[in-house]
Amino acid sequence: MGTLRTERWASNLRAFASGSVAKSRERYASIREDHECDPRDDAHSPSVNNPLMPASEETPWAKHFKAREVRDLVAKDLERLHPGEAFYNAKDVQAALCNVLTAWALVNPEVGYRQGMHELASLIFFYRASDAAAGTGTGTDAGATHAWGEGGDPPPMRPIDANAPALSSTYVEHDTYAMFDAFLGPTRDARRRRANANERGDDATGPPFVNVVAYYEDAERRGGASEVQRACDRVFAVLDEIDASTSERMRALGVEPQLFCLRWLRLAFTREFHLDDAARVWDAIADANAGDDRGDGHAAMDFMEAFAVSMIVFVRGDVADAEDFGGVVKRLQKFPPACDIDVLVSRAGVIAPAVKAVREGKDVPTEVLARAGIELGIPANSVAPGTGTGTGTGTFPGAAASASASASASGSGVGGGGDDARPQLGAKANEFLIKAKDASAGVGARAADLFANIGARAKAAMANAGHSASATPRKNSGNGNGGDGRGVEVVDQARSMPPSPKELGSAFGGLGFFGGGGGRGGGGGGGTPAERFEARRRRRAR
Amino acid sequence: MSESDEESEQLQYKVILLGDGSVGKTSIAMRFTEDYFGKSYKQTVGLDFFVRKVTLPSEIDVTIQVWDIGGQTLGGKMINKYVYGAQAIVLIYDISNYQSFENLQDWYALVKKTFNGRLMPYVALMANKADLSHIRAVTPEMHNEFADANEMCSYFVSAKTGDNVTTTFYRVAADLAGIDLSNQEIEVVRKIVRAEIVNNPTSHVARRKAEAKKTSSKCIIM
Repeated sequence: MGTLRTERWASNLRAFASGSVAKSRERYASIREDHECDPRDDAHSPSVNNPLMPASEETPWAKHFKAREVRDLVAKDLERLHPGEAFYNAKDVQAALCNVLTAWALVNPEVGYRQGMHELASLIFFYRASDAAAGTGTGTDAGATHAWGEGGDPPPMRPIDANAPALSSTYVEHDTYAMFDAFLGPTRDARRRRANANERGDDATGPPFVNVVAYYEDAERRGGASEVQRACDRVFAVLDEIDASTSERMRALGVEPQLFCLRWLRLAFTREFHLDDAARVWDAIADANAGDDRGDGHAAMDFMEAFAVSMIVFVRGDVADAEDFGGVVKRLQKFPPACDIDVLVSRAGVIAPAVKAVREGKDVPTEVLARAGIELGIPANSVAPGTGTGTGTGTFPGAAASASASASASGSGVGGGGDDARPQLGAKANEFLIKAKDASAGVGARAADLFANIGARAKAAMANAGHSASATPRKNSGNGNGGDGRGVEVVDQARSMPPSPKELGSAFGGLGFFGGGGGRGGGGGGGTPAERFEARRRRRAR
Repeated sequence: MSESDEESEQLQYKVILLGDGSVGKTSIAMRFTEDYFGKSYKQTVGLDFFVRKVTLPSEIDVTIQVWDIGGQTLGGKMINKYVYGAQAIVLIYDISNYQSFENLQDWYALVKKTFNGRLMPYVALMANKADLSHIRAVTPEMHNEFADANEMCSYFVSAKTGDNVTTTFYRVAADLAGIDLSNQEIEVVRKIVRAEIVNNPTSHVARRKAEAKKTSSKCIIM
């Protein structure tokens, strides 16, 4: 790979204004100068500018006090950043992160600094500093020698060398700002400003953009749902579609997605995995952002929410086994570290179109569900034999393996044979679909679609599907799984779960259910005063 | 498990910890559920969830769910969803941080609004970092005044030393289950938790005040 990680991030996030690193560094320096000016230096007369004037006035003193307040808030959180890890607690790193977060909060006062942002910035900072130190990226950095993480003061903000290389330890702080800003994306206000007038053409590269900041924003209207709440609802809605038995189980126990998803999304999964693994997820988020073909800036968010779904599905066995509410929540809040992150990433890629559909209020396309079913090895529960079985197995050659086949089915069987299953879906599939729709045995048309689309490979996957998370999954690779045959897992201790009629009913009942229970619209009274309270408390806290 | 012969129904209580950031909510939850104290925890983003089973006198098993809610990260509406359905709410402040005490007014107001018109849960006032009495910013008098005014049970604890943390949850559970705990029983729990008991002067002040008030309030103040 010719490019280092943060180069790839920067390019996929479109982090540098007009593609110019120097320009972005310049911008960062002027932001800081603007907000951190020493009011005593100001040439204004004391009648216009003195520390005793009301804070509401836009005086240099008011600005100064505001900046100091934000800085104190940020510094307080940074004290608790990755406790015990020397790099993050080194004086220079702390100071640089504090500068970055304070600057961002002051530029975006409508959101300001929120807990969690410091962890996002720190991940970017760490990798940027590592890449700069590696020095193997674009150009070399002969003059810059700052070794981050060893204490002391950060390098001075200026001068900015227009000819400095893209990866320079001198400008890690500057570049972190640009990438952090791009990763958070425009705030609601900024989006609106951008939509209303096409101003800011010079620093805004326009959509597509990541918009993680939306997960930090409060609800827009009184009684409305915040974006992060909506995202949680989407995660559940998609789970309903692709793994109804798991979502059913969670609903039955009262486990709502915001109990764990909020942290997953706000921290972009950095707490759930080792940082190296989290960075892999970020690679994929950035890639999704770059590949946004709609230009509305949601591709990266779709991916993130899909990733959350794939995480839940990954521990579906534990969810099924858990005794109660507490067991499920604990499993999801303490995600098992043993998994192969690439499996989750590739699954999320398959699920993302489903999130997109839900976001747009559309039905999840059948082929998306089918692919997800294959990729995740879900069907054992959700698309169980029952009414469909007879016709199904008859219609599709090679679909003989039953859902309850034991886990001893060899891993190598997974890769073979099934790859050509989907191309066969043609007239026969439609025929089957029509039959299935007519069958009206409690199976929704959607479920029938899904079932019809699952070929031999899916069947094999069912047999092998990883249900137990207590066993360490091995990725079944190297069997020449062509095409998209990644990520089918063999779990040592897979259980087969022959569905009972009740499960069947509930599984199908779940299909097509769009998150109504998640509290999207409803949600009892008292929300509005609470929001007012929240706003007041935050103001006070600053 | 199934040792409880005739007691087929499992008692389970949802206890919510509320309070400003870094007053020690996570530390208290960790101390109670795992008897562990870490010097520093990452900020709770959203919610952390802990569970511990305790056995009350007469072999009554109780599962205590501790919901540790991020002090800063949740919007009001979401907090509402978490708080609702709780059997007990523990309002926590840091005795060395006056602001964290004052802000409990707001936290309490949030609770009252959430339960508006419904039966209020058991509400307790908990002063954490009692080991920092040399830099205290909130006096026991202020503490008691707030607790009395709002008819809250009140506790002084230190997650760091472990002082009173488990006994507090034990008491909360007993109160919820409607079981009277004798001092002796409390002592037993205390001894299991810690062999050495730091004699905290604030507790005595509080206790003396509590003795005087005992007739008016059913809460036990330690």
